[in-house]
Amino acid sequence: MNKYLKKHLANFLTLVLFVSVTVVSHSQDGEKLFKANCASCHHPVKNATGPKMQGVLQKWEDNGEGDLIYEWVKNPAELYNSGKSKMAKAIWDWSPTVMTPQGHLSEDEVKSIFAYVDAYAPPVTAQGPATDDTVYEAEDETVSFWWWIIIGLMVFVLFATFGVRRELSEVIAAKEGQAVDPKKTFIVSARQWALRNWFVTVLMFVAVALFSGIELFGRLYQVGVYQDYQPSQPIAYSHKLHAGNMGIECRYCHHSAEKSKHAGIPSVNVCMNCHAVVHEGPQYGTEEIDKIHLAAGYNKAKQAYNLDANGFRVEQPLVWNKAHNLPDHVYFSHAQHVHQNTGNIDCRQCHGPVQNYTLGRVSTTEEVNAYATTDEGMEKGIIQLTKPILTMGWCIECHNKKEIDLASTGYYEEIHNRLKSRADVHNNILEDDKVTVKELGGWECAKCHY
Amino acid sequence: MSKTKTYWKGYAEKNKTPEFLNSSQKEFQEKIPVEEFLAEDGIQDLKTGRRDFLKFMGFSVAAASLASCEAPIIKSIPYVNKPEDITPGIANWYSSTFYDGNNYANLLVKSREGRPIWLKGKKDGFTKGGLTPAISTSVLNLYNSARLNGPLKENNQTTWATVDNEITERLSTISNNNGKIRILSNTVISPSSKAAIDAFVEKYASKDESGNISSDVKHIQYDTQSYYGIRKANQNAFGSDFIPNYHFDKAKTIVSIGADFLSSWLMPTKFSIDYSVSRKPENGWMSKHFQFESNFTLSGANADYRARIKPSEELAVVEALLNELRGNSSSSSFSKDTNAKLYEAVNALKKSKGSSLVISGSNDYRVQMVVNKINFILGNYGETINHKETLNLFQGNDSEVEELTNDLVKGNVDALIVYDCNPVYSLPNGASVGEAISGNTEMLKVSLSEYADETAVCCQYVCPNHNYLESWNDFEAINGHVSLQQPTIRPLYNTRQAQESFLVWSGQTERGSSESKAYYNFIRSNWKARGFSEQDDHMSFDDFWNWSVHNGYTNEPISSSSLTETGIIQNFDLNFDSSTSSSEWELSLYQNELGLGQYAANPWLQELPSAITKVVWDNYITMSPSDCFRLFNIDSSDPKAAWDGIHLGQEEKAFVASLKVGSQELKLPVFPLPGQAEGTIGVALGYGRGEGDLSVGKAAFQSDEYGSHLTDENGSLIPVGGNGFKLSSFNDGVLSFSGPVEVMATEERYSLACTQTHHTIMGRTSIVKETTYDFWKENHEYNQEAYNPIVKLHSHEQGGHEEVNATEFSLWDEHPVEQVGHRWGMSIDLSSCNGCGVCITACHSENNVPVVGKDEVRRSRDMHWLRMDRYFSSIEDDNRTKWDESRHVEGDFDYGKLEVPEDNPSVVFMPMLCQHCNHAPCETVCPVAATTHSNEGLNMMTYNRCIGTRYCANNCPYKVRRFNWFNYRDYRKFKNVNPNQDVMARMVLNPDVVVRSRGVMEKCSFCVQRIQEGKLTAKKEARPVVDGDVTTACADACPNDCITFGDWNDESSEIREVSGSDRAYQALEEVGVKPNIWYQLKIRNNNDDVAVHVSEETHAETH
Repeated sequence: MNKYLKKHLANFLTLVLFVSVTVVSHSQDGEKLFKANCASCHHPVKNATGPKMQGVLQKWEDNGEGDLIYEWVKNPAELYNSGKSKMAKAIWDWSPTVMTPQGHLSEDEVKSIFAYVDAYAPPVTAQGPATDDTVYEAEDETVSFWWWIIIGLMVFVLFATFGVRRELSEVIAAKEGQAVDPKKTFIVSARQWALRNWFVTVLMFVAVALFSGIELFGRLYQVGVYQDYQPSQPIAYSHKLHAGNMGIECRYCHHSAEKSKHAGIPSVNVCMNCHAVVHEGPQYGTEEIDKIHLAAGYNKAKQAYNLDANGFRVEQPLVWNKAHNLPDHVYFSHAQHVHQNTGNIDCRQCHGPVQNYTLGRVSTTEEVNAYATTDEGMEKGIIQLTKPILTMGWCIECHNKKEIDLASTGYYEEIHNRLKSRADVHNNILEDDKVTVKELGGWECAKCHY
Repeated sequence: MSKTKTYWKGYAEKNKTPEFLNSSQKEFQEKIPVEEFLAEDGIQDLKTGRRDFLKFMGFSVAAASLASCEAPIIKSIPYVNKPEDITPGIANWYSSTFYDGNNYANLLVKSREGRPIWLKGKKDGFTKGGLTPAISTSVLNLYNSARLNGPLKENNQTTWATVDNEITERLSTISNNNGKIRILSNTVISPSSKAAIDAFVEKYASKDESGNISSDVKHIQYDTQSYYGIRKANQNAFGSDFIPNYHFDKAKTIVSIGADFLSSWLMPTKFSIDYSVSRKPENGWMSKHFQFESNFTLSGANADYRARIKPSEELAVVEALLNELRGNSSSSSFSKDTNAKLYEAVNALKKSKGSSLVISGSNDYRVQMVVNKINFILGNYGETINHKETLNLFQGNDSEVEELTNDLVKGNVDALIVYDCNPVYSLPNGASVGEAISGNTEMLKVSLSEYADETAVCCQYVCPNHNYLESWNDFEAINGHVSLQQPTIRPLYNTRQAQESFLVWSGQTERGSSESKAYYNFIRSNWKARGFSEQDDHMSFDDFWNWSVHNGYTNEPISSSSLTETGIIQNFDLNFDSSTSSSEWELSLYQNELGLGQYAANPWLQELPSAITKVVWDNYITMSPSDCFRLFNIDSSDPKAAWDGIHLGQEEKAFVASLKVGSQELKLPVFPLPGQAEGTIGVALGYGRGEGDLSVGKAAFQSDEYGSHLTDENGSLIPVGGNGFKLSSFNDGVLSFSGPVEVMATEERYSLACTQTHHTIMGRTSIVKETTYDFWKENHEYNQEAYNPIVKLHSHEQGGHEEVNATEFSLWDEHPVEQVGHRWGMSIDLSSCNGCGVCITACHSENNVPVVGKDEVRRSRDMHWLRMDRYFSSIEDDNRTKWDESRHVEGDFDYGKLEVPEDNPSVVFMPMLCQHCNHAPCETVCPVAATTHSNEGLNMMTYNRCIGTRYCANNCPYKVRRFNWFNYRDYRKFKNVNPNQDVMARMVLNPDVVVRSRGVMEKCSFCVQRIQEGKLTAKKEARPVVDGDVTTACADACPNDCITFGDWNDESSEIREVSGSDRAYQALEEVGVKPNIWYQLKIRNNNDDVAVHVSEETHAETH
């Protein structure tokens, strides 16, 4: 980024911060109250389910009803029915939706809400990449490309130097009157050199072979390993915002995780539960949320769905890119792992600290292990593993470590009862005083491959 | 051991023909397809040097590793507005109904994310879970990409508005001129469809003064397989042309004269279930079943006594029965065997008056009248024959159909609407009718077919109907029992339900979009007016409707006609000339699994081996072996040489014969079938679809070795098999499917694909056990050893010589499966299994089993995970004489002595699948541990580990492992047969099971996906797994409940109980592999006197 731009931006941000700090001191309560009581329908500067609130107080005051507004907030119907307020009648006629009475708010509290609203300035949305999130995009390609060019150049220089050296020595030889052997080409001389210094040659050869062997093996080992994979998506959805900042539970959106093998990419109607009202995000403004509305066929101005001639919604499905991919021959069930009566595993055991990512991404083992050592991770019983995520080694490593509480549910109780009648097997399993998934068959091929 | 019986899969095995010996001694029956792999890309033709080879290799290795570094981007499209009741990954089940004019069944449709993928019978419906293979596979027909996408006019795509305008306009003109309008359909059993058609007739018919509709507009019902004879006989006898409901579950004696009630006659879905109730001896009784027939049918195979008669002898047989019952002796000219069985039948009938059943498959009303008389004398009306609750199926009137065809040929008809039938294909004079229709340019010709089929291409307009899985409808198959059909998917194409077409044309409704609810609303209004008002369980109509849709049926009569009260059955006299003429060769047309040809393009159905012959993908003549000798001039004086001279068509090509009825000729290969009545020719209907390059589906046509369609000299496609309907005829106003035929031998030879000789179990005949009902009853409480002996081996351990139970020997350490978690077990009742094959098709669609086509089946590379072994059995020749002397009782017929065993063998069906041995021989030989044992007793197969050595298949004593030779979903050889190669048909795949790739071994997994699902359900509900949580596809679909599946470790489970029953045994117990499958030995209710069917030979072999 341009240095000047950065500087200007920083100045601007400081200014904004300064201004807002002065406001904040006045309307701190107001903000809290606004968010708790009004924000589900009202926006300070935009019409939502209810009208925008900035300047409303002024309007009532202009009409000479500055006192009545508190009655309106406490019980709109009563004020309207009393017939003493023109403003009340005007609002009533403007929209058929009746505002929920807010009888519990005191006059002061309402005042502080209006104070907050009137002082509200929309946050400045910085253009360009987010300041706090790393957007994972495949950028390393260009880097490696330059590396290759440099290596190529070096090789060229190396050969050129050899060539020049040869030419020079030939010139010297000619000057000194020695015969130049025309058969002694570059290759021949190289071979002679190699024969003379055979030990160095062998050493070099072994080193190169060893190096490329290890490199090849390592590369092959990474085939099919999708750690850190984060495909781009049609909507710049941020897990960090939703699951992190707002603390929305994973299974609110990925709700089939408990029922089905698929956790599922949320359907648009789940987004619309909130975004029917929330039309603007903190980072991209309306741009990204408009995409949801387009997909759902939602007209946010009319607050209604667009219908076609047959009465069906005009929908445009979203095409997402799947981040977590398993081969066809692997059967994996989310329900088996996360349902409280089955595995009861926290989502982060496999998906890592998703609350820190923006787009969906395959976590890395290191991240999960780091998370496991945090207080939260320990509380959730996250197990530390070594193999790369989404590989079979990782699956079975966990199956070997994860313990099953045989007394937990009716299902496992029955299994336990049966086991008790087979002393040989029972003792074998209980040798280390714990029962793992593996010991109940979690390492068997047909549990996952069919 | 009193007597021995031998078991053989075919005459080839029985007579040890070179063909059989050759194939049985091969380690691998299949040839390794090296040439094919090479031919795949024409590599054989290239001159590829060593250096080129290395270059190719190097390049492909590099390319492969480069390609694998790149992660493929997988797209995923979630619902925009997720339906509340659909969770991706979880199946939904909907009740519905199948009816195609031939079969009727109440169904449960399994749907995944809005795609129907699997079907089973609804156990609490009227058909009690009854299914046929054709119904079971019908879900694939939905995805047939040959279905029409939108209406056609003169074979060009057009819009619905155009066809509607033009058709109604022309109909009005015709109606104004009092023209002849004819609707030809199969039997309509839907009250609402009938109302829609009535509305159409009402609209266009002129009326006389009193308001009666004149006959210029008429709805004619045409049954492809006609049962008009029964209706005509009942009209003559009782004054009402009803078809009664038959109760096989109450019949102690069943005598069927040529009626294959287990697979095709009237309502096999219901009858076969009722029958199976009477075949479980644990119920306290067992029916005695006599079958007199010409072809070897499924019912004949299950009969206790089977006699072979010619079709022309049917009348004589029923008359002989009648005479005997009346106490008159009859002088008949039957064979001794038939006489003996007649005598036996009469005895049995006399003993079970009021609880017996005599039925006939003949379409000759005289035969049916005699049958009526017999049932009347036996007092079966009101007992096993319910004449008050009649069947609405097959209301066709053959004489009206014949009249219509005559009118069509004469050009007397002004408008013809063909709905749900294909007369040009299935009428005896179909070709000429087709020419007449397409030649008559004056006539308005409309077809409502889903396909541009034989009849549709003759029509001017084609208004394609929905598939039944896209439709709403109601059906009243039995009076007073109405079931509902509900759509389980949105219409895939721009089609319109036929009933809506009728409603639109009659001005009852506006044309709807693809989401049209026109007919749905029409049904609802009908139900509101009738069914709802006649019940009082539900307060609101919506409540009543939702309950009915959920249930799939209601017992409230919806049709306007109340129950047919066919009064008291009156006695009646028979007065007709019963003399019949017999000819040298008689033809008998029958239905096999393929039915009447609607589903000829269904590859699952084509690949299902026919129950008796085990032939796939073809139509053929069944002929008794002795007739073969006669027709093809084989000297039968030396039996060995004679038997070597005829061929199944599998190893060596079969003979081809030409059949001629009137002017119609049909050339078909000859399949020598033991049990076929001598002098008769059996030909299956339903083949030869799509003649003339019709677009009915790719699988309806023959493919060559490399997957391209075969063409004849004119360049047109060759259908699979020949059209048997050409040989039927109108006889006295009745459609006749039998009669004299001329048979000529030809010089041609033809290859058939027959799985009969595949996968032999190496002469270990102890695989099947059977006994008779009387013997079982006598012994089952104290002396099970008498009929279910435990296999014993000799031990010299203590120095002496003692016999020890085979199960006690063990080569390996025991797998700890008992009491450790689950142990999945299965039990198969051979007694109630009738060999229908629904388990095979159910397994096929559940497990994404590839279809391989005829050529591959010929190479023994069929992929069925579950096969139906059909064993013929006969009493051992040598022992027979000996036994006769010692056991002969005066007055007892000993028909066994009279015949050659191959002539009339009895049949045992045995579903054979992976036995999930606890000491599995396959597991020990796998070099890469791709097949291993689970702690739940499963023999697991891990495809991603398998390297395809095929050692396991070689070591399997049951021969149930299948090697995946090709990339069936891509390789061009399978493009016309494998549904996975079709964009539409791919939707039928079960997403819970992987589509296997080339080079791996496959086999039955005990539907491990269902096991995991069932366990998960129990886990989520925090309770132990109970019966019903887990079933395999075969057990789930089996109409007759022969298959029990469950957790053997659960002491209260059904499988635990039946595995310890007195009939339970394990196949090849002496091999010591300790399977997790038990069989319940077969019980026949006859006097075969064969108590123990483990042959001495086999016993000796195990020493």
